[in-house]
Amino acid sequence: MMRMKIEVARQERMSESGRSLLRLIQNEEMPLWDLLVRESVQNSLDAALDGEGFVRVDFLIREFERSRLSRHFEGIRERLDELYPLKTYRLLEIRDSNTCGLTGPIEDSNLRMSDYGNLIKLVYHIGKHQQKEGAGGSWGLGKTVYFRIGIGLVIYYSRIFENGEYASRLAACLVEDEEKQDALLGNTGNHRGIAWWGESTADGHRTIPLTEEGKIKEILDDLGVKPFGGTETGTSVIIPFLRDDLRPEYQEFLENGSVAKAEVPWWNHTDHDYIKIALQRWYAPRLMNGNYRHGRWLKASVNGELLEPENFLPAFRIVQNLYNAILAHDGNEETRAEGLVSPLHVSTVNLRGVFANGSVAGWIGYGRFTAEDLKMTPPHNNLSPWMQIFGRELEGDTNPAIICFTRKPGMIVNYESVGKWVEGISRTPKDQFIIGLFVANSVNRLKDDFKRHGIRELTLEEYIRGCEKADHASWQDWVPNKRNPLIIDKIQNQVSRIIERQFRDEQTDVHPQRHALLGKVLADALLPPEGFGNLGNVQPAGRDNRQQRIVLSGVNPVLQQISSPVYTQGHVRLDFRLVSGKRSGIMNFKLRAVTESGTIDSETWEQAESGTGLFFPCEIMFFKLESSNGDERHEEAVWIANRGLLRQEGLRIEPISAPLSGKTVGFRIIGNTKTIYKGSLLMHVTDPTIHVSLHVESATEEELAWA
Amino acid sequence: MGMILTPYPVLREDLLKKIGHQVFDYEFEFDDGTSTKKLSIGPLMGQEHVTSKLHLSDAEGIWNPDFHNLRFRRKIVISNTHFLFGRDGIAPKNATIGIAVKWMSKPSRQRGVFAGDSISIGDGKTEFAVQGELPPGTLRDHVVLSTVLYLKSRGKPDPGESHLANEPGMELGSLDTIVFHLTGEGSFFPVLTTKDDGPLWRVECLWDDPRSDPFDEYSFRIVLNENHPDYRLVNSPDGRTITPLLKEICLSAVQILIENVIEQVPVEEIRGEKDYDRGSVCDAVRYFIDTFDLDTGKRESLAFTLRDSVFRNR
Repeated sequence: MMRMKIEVARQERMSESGRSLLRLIQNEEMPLWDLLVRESVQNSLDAALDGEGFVRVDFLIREFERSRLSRHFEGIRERLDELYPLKTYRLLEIRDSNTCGLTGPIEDSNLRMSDYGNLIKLVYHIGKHQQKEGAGGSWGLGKTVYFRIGIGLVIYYSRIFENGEYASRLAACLVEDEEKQDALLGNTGNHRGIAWWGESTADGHRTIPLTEEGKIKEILDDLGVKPFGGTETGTSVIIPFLRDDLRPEYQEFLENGSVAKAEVPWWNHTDHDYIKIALQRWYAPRLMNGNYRHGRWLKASVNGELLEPENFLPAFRIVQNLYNAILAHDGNEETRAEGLVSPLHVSTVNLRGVFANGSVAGWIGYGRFTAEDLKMTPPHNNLSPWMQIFGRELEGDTNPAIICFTRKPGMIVNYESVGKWVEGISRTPKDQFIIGLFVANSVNRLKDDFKRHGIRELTLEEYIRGCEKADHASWQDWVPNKRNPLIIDKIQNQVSRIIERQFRDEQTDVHPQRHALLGKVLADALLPPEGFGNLGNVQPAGRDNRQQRIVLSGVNPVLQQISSPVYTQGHVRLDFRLVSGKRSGIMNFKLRAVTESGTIDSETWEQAESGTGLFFPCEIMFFKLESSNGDERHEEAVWIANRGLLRQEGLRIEPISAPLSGKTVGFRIIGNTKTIYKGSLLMHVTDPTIHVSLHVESATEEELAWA
Repeated sequence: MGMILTPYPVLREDLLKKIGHQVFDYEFEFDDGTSTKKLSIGPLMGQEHVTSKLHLSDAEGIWNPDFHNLRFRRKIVISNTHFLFGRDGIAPKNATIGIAVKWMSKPSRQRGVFAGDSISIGDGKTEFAVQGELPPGTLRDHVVLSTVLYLKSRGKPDPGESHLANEPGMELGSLDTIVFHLTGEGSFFPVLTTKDDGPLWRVECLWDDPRSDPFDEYSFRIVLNENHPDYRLVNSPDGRTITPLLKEICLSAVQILIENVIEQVPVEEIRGEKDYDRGSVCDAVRYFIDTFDLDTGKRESLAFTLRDSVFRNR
């Protein structure tokens, strides 16, 4: 029988205790099942294998035999048997596949923090940040929820593929309130409520995960966990002694102080139904949605039953429809979705002066839905979206809007019906519901003034990740550098403005119009001529000079046309002036073909792959160049096709040929610096639809070296 | 650098002189949903002598190329069209030449061409036109219009004409090329009008962040109510004069603007030109304070200094 060795974390200075860890997660309002679903699925999605398809997450609740578990745990076996006398208890297994599993080193001594893998971060360290952009968490505290839904004992089993081999790992961890009377570690002396189980390291001080398949299988069998097989990789988190009080309580406090039973939604009666709803509530954009764009979509099951979108609660079906409408957004503000009478609207949320790439901060998809849309009418008789989303009915005669928001991982950060997201949106009658989903444009970058020095760039995704607290339940602006970019604040303002504008009564919807004349007259009196506005009468300095950037500084050779070209059938004759540069008298004179997207030289043109594979459309038949520097030494060169060089005095020219056709398409001119040459050229044109451009440039350094 | 050489003769200086051509200004208009409105062409500030770079605007400031179309028409007179044809011209004698306008808006990555009237030798026509319409959303920032000649239909070249372009579609040179700027950096004071039952005017401060939001009508606006009986005291008959009432409205609005901004951003930071964008609401407030030497210490001194120095010579 395999018994795992225990490693008890001893009291040390500055170290977290079990008690403090269990208190760390800040969200006290969210039911534990919701917290668990959010955190565990996020961990699985963050570990998704690269590529397309889905990540699978299965939630399984079943019974196990207490004695078959306790016997594997050195140090707490007796205590477990004593405190939990029943023969069987429930466990929860959260099993993911198409994920990479708990990879990385199995021992954390002598490692730099950046080298910790998934295994060490999940099992042995708590409170480590996620490094991966697009990852769900930024605090790394989410996993503490595992310790809160059972007795604090969690078993991690994983199969990974590393260095060309498959390998399995199994370890257990306990986090409990060390001050509790019935602490499992009560008999182990000086402890702080934290312990691990596995294999002893050589020095006997620490434990590392079991890696021997036989030993692992023995424990898995006792827990009813199916081992991963074949090419499967993934992680199974097993939480034994599952608590029975994880679902929210429904009690109504009456005015006289007594407690009445409130209406309890059907999914609150069993844990597996509740998990299904929690999955829809928090992962509607990514759950069973092949349209999801930022990685693998999420395929989830509860006790073997797959979640299908047609069985989603109507509010979450709408959230998924809104997400898909945003993905398909093509500038049309209104779209329809199957099964919905009311249209879906999508608007772009633009922020000015914040981003480096355009102004898009994200998109808001929203609609004003009726009781029919939400299938609240017979025969469906669904509960109101308030019940579906918040688990409670809303008092009052009107409904505020419900806005939810998400970033790359596709988890709904939260649903808000009060506060900045919905302030300014008029309430609807009781039978109408405004539901909106904001999706952040994760790839946009903040302007450089907002990022801290030393960081290459700050994407909106990273900024928003920094806006989330450990429970990921809200967004709060922060200050990455000196100045608060107020992005969330502005997004919230715009979202409520956009929705309000859409649904406001038509009659009040009169947009004031610019008074162009007065605006200009007042600008003359009150403002400088430029800088405050976008009137076309002033253009930014320098922008129109762009085309004239090439300055004749005398460094580079210059080509000038002397007179109009002379045309005869298929031929063009041109007289030109060539002034060699200060730097070099060695120049390349070449023909290039003019196309819509620029000019192409003969080498590229005649290439089959990157060019046309055809012969270059023109060739030089005659070329003459002579110096015209007054009475200085005369230089001259003359070349004729088929006859070659006729004359060459004090000046060398060498024909340049196209690679395929062998046509002469230019000349290497080896002359003198600062010299004015007169030249003439006869060109034969085989394709009269193609214009030709004449280029001259100094030979490159390399060419000079050869010369 | 490159020198373009066409494989056949095209319009050049000497030929342009001979044909006696005259290109008229483009006429632009757009539809605002109820009627057709004219757009006017003006020179760029500081480049008044340049005729190849102009800006396009409408009197009411409604036209926005994202939402409105742009229609143009241009008249061209060529007195001696016969010079275009034959051995020394650009097309065979019995070919037809077309006039077209090529357009290109690089910022929107769009280009195209509109064909206009044709020129044939001996038909006696001297006046030609070309027109076109670009749908909303086609243009951004600026558009380049080039009036060109092209070979419209093939002729049968006489002896001595075989060097001439004779493939339909071949470009035969351009008469002129003009850049029309649609947007720029010219200042505009955000004054708008509405028609409702409300008061004569109101001021709206709509910015989210005065440090980064540009000073424009989306951040700050004075809205004048045309339905109000006193509107005639605000708007002068020629629309160009700042009436005393309009001055008071502006000064009150600017006071509200300044007071609101310095509540959010300390006035020292504004005057120190720290941490805000050029052209932003903060920048406008800095300009007002510095240019008009405003005293922001107390509300009444701000009101006094505004009236003491703004509109002084108007």
